[in-house]
Amino acid sequence: MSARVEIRNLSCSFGGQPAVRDVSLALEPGTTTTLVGASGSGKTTLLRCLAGLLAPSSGQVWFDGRDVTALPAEARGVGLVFQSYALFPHLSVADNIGFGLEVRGVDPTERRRRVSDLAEQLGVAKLLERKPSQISGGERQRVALGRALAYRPVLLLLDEPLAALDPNLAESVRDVLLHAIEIERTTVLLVTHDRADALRMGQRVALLRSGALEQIGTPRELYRTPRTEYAAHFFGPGLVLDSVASHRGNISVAETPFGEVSLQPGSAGPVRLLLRPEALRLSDCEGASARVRRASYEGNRCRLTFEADGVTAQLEASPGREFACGDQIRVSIDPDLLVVLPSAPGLPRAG
Amino acid sequence: MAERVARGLAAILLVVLLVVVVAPLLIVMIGSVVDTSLLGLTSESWQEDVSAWSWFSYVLDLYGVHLARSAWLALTVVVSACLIGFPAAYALARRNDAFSATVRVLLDAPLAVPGLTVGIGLLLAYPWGRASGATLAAGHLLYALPFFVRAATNALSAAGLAELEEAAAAAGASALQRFRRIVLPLARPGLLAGALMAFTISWGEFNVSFLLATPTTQTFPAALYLTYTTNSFPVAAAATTLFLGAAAPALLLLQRVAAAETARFGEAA
Amino acid sequence: MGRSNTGPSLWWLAPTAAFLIIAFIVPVFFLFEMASDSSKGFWAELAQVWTRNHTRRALLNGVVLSAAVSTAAMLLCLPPAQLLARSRFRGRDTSRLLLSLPLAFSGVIVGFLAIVMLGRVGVIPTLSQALFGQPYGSGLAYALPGLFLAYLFFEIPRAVLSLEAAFAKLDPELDAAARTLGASRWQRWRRIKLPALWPALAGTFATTFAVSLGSFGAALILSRRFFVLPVEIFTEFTAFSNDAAACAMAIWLASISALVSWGAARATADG
Repeated sequence: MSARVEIRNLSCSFGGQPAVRDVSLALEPGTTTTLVGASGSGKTTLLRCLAGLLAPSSGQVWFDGRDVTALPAEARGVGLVFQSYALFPHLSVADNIGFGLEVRGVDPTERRRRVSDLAEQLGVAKLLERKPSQISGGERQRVALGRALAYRPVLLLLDEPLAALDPNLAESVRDVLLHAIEIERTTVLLVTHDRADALRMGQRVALLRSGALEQIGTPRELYRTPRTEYAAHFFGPGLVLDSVASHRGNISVAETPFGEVSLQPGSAGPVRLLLRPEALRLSDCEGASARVRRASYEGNRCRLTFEADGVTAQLEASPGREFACGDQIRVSIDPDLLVVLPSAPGLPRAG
Repeated sequence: MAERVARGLAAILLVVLLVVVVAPLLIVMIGSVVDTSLLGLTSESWQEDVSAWSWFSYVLDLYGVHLARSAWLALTVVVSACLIGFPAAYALARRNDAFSATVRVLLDAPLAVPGLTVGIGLLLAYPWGRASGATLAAGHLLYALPFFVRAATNALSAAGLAELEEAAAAAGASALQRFRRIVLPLARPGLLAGALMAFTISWGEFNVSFLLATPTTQTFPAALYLTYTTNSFPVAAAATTLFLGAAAPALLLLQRVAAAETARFGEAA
Repeated sequence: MGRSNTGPSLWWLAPTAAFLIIAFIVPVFFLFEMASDSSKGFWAELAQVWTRNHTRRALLNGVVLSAAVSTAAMLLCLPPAQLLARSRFRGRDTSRLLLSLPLAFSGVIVGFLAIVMLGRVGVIPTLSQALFGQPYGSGLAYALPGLFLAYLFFEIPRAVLSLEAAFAKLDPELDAAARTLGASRWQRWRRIKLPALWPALAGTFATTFAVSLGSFGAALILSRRFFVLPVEIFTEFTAFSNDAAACAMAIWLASISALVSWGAARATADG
């Protein structure tokens, strides 16, 4: 059971300050949208408004064509996974998961079945009799997920589900999470401040900045064709270069200290380029020459800081080779990973 | 080195305090069962060779009614404190506005005013309530309520409880369901502590009681006063021991509950 | 504005507010009214508390006694309170329980205990007679030292528990940080602990003071030569039916207590 969720011109204050500003967003049934933004950008506030825990100062929330703005949390049928899990310490894992069913008056046998099915699916079946204090962080996360899913909510909200977990644990919990979402097929809004998770965990990504919606689109759109400089930097900071695009035959090229790079045909005039480390590559023969300033080994890659024509940039090289400060290298730009930033607001984007 | 000296000093002071507090109590308790002519405390010695326990039964004979009345009064006060104070504690734990702040200050205000003053005020304002003991109960409640509310508010503002309530609401629980399944079980130790405190305060209250009491509503502490002024030590000692006997278990339970409370919430997920 | 949807409304405070108005605010009004309901008028009644030698002395006695008891209680209970809050030793819970026993007592009982220990034939004089041949401390209970000790006995549990709670709230990490920075024990006390404890210390002093000032039971039993206001109030009200004078004195008492509380709160307002 999943609903089409519409957020219409929602504004909400928190602690006297406006936290969400005129946000409009539509979530298609059964899809997963990630909501991403810096700390304090209003993500959690928006989530709580959707859950019915916070009353907005203006705007509406609609579920499947029904205005639910005035409905309190207990009547909305939303599943919410808190950042701190908020498991009931005095109830067992089974009772925690089954809580939503219990308050809805579901038959105990039916309840037990659903709980054990879910527990099986989430890998916590052996922990049903334990209390939350007796299980690990990753297990608590899965129990919290189970509790939110037990009563088949029309909308599942997750507040930074992986933030409290170390990278390895987050890896396995992420898989469990995505799998459960797939099976339950509910509409999902997932809040995260991790940009990698933002891009890989949802079919759509919404970027929030100081309470307002900066951009919404597919992960690819937000990464490759950000509409603002803020959005561009959010999904991968890098070096910003101003250059000029000119025609050469039927292609357009721009000059940079790191070599020539081809742009969308038809581009001309001043362009602003964002060179993320992944867009710069070591090339053996062609490419511009540069000098290594610093090399740091990071296990699965080697991050090189280098300089050419007085401009410093970074790239990620394979870890096999060893680099030293002062080494001469040759670099080139991958046109597929190059991001062309929008120019001054109001002016049409080059390309 | 200075560390050791300081700790030693603190330990010594602690022992001194303990001795100062416990010694008189022990003497009184012993004096109620043992022949105290050894200590020369009886200015009026009992000639008959009475056994120890007969002093207790003597006290119960004379003042048993007072004892029962005090117990009944304390019970009333505890129940009233819970009924009136719990909603206030819940509101104070969650809200942070001017009205709540005013109520908080007003709650603690009677503590700064001598019991005698409050007693006189109550007597003047509600002379008709005196006979039934209603004003007496009100006076007790005035002093018991701030302590109950303080304990209850502490229990209810325990870290994470608000969020657990939200989780329950998001899962679909109504206000009543939330209260029954989440708030009450988790706040129970603190509420119990508050109730015990209210009991102890009412049980030992003298200032207001002495002023407001009528012959039919005399409380046990007032009866104690009578035994002290009739100058027979064994009787007074027995009465005091009886009084202590009822208060000590309550205090003991209070300590246990307070310890259990910190332990329980330490395991919140 | 963004208002939490699961919180209690103001109505939850209604029963308590109503009770406080009925049982406290209204009587206070009556108190003021009664104090003005005399041939002399309100302010004259109040002034007379000061001008009459007897009552002025009783008032000052009470203030000085309460201040002395509060100071002594704080000094005596501070180190043990820290010990109870910080160290773990066997008997800690028992110590705390024993020290909190007098909480259940009213002043009368404490007065009785004072007589038992320091009356004319109290335990201490009797013991000292047996050991040293002289009954030291006989009759002390009825004089200022006896009253002082009785009040102190009464206040010790409140002071210890209140101070222990304050110590428990201190963040041990701050002390650890100060130690790594080279601060000595005394420096840590002066610059880190004392400022953090100050509000609780002031509050404890104010409460102890207020309770001592208004204490009635002990004074009733013990004061033969040393008079304090609460007993005067009682006798004026019940024996002489001099309601106005009694109310005026009661207002004096309550005002002084309130002033001290307010002063303590203000002194720690910025802390």
